[in-house]
Amino acid sequence: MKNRLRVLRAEREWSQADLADRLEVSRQSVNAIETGKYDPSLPLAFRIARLFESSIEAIFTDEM
Amino acid sequence: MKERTPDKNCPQSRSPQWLQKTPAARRYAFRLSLAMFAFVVLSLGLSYLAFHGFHPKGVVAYLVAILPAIAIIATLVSGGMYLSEETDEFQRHLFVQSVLWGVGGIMVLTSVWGWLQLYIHISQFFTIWTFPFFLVFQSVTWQTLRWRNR
Repeated sequence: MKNRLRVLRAEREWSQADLADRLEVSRQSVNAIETGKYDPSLPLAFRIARLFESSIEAIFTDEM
Repeated sequence: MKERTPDKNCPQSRSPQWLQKTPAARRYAFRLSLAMFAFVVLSLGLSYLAFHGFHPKGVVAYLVAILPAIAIIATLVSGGMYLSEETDEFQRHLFVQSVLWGVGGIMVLTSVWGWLQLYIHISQFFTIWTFPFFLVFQSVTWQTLRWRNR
């Protein structure tokens, strides 16, 4: 699954650690999601969407 | 935003960032150390008793012989507690992966050993080593996965 997390984070000039703090997850989790190594659960995807004031579909796409 | 407060019982580590653990992982490491210490003490205690002519009989013999299993159960319980306490789902994912690698590793090792025992007549594999080997496979894999995803 692809996502726009890195772009959204860069727009706000947040580091991975900043985003991890805001999501209350580890920096490794943010890195794994950004690089597509790990797909977040639905609750975490909702938290990400809420943080960026966007919809889940606007951040995550199921294109390979 | 809820601020993450450091766990007072688990001071921040000065190790490299990828080695730094979540509060739940630090508690797991502490519980695991206690369980492993108990395992070693109970196993050595049993050997000492056996070598010193203490040969209990009946139900007592069974109870004494399975004492190290208490430490093994404690280890499994601490793993379960870690999974329930860990709030970071990616870290949980890595831990579960490492447990699967641990189970796979010990199954391959014991199967290969069994064939070698059967056809090449190498020395017998003592099944009491199954759990320590599982733990070694699991721990090494867990740290490797954490390093790869640092």
